[in-house]
Amino acid sequence: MTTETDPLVPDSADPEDLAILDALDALALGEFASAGRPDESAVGVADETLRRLYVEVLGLLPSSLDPVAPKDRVLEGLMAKLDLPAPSTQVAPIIPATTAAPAVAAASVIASPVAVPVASVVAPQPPVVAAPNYARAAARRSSRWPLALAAVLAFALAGLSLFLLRNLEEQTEQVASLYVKLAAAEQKVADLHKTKGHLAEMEKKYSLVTNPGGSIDRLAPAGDPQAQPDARGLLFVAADHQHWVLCLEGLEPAATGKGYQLWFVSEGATVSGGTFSSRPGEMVELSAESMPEGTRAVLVTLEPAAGSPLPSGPQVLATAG
Amino acid sequence: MPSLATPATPESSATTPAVVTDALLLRRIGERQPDALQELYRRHAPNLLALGKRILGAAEDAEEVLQEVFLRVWQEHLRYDSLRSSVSTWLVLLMRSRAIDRLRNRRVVERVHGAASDEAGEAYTSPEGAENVLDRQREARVRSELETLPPEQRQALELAFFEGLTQSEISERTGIPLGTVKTRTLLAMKKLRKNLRQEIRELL
Repeated sequence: MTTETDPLVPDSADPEDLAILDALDALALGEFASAGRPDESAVGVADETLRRLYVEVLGLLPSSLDPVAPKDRVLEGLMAKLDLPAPSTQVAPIIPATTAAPAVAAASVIASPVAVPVASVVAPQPPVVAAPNYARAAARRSSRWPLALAAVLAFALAGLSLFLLRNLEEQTEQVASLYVKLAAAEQKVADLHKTKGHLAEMEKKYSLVTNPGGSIDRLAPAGDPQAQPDARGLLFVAADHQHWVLCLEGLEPAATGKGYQLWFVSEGATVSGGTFSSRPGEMVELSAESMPEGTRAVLVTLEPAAGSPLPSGPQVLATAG
Repeated sequence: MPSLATPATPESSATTPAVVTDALLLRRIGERQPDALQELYRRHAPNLLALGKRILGAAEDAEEVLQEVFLRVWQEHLRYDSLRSSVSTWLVLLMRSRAIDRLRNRRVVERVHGAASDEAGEAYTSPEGAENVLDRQREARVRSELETLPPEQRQALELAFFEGLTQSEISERTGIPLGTVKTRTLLAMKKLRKNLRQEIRELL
C-alpha cells in the first residue's frame, strides 16, 4: 500500500504505527521473502515482533469470508501442470499406514457379505491353560518402561510448550510496551538536550550583556515618533566589537507583505542585518557573532517582507547615538 | 492452525498419529512430496478461493489465480520465510497480490472492451472434524470482530485489503482526507490485533 506515489508516512514516531504501516507495506509487496527484508540494523526486535503480529492480523482477514469450494478440476489441473500424479479423491490419511492396514483388514472382515456359520469358524475348544512364561512376561514388562518414559516426557513437553506459548504473548506485549516507553524516554532525552543547548545559548548571551568590557546602546523610535511610540530596544555589543545581541520590544506586528529589517550603519555604508517579524506582547531577540567593521549605529526599518537592498521604508527604531 | 494426523512417511512411521503443521507440509513439498501439496491445498483452498472471489468477483478467475498460487508454492517454496509470517498468511498475501494484479489488468481490459461477466460460486461445506470446528470458530471470531469495528474504520481496511487501494486512492474515492484514512486504518488494525490475540497466537 505504501508506495513511492502514496505518501503513507506516519505522523508520529509511534512504533506501533510504524509496525502497522510496515505490515501494510507487505500487501503492496505481496510477500516477504522476495521483497527484500528491511535493513535489520535499522529495525529493532520490537519492531519485527509488532510487525509480525500485524501481518498476521492481515492474514486473518479472509477468514471473515464464507469459504468457497474449488472445483475438482482446479486441483487436477494443478497436478497436471506440475506433472504430478492425479489427486486422490480421498481425504489424506489420518492414521499412518502402519496402523491403518490392520484397521482396514478388520473393517473388511466385519463388512464381509459372505455369511459364514459362526460355528464353522470358531469351534468350541476346551480351555487350554498355558504354562506361565515368566521370561516373556518379564521381557514385556521391560519393554514397556521406555513407552512409559516417552509418555511422561511427551506430557512434560506438552506442558512446557503450553507454558511457553502463554508466556510468549505476554512477553511480546511487554516488549512492545517497553519499546513505546523507550521511544518516549528518547524523546525526553532529546528535549533535554535541546533545553540544555538553549540554556547554554542564554548563558552565553547573559555573559555578553553583563561583561563590563562591552557596550550597551539604546534604540528609540525614529522617523515618525507617533507611529510606534512604545517601540524600544537595547543593543549589547561585546568587547571584541563583533558579538552582539539586540533586544526589541513594543514593536507592532508588520502588515501583510511587510517586515522589519535591521541595518548596520557605518561610515559611508549601510549593511543589512536581516529581516524579522514581531508578535504582540513578545520580545524580539536577535544576535550574531559578527558585526560589520566600523558600525556606528543600528537602524530598524519597515520594508517589504522579502527585504530590501537598502533602507527604503519608514524608520522605526535607531540607536540614540 | 489446521492440522491433521500425519500420513505415513519415513520420519513418522510410529503408530501414534502426529500433528502435521503447515510448515511441515511446506518442508515436505520441498522434498517433492505431491501428497503434501494436496494436503496444503485442501486446507487452504476454500479460504483462498473465497478471498479471490471477493477481490475478482468471477469464480473462474479466482480459481485460475488459486492454481497459480499453488504452482508457485510448489516451484518456489523456498521463498517462504517463517520469521516473517505463518504459512497461511503467506498464502493469503500471495493470493491477494495475484488477484489484485489480475483485477487491475482486467480493469484496463474492461475499459477497452467493456465489463466482464460474473458467476456465482459454490458454497463450501466444511468436512466434519475438530480442526474444522476450530477453523469455523476462528472465522466466526474474525467476522464478529470486523463487524464490531466502526463502519468507517472497517471500510478503510476493506478497501485497502480487498480492493488493493492505496491510502491516497481510498481518500480520493471516499472524499475523506488522507490523514483521516490513515488514522482509521491504524485504529482498525490496533483493535483487531487486540481482540484477535488468541487467533494470532495460534498462527505464531
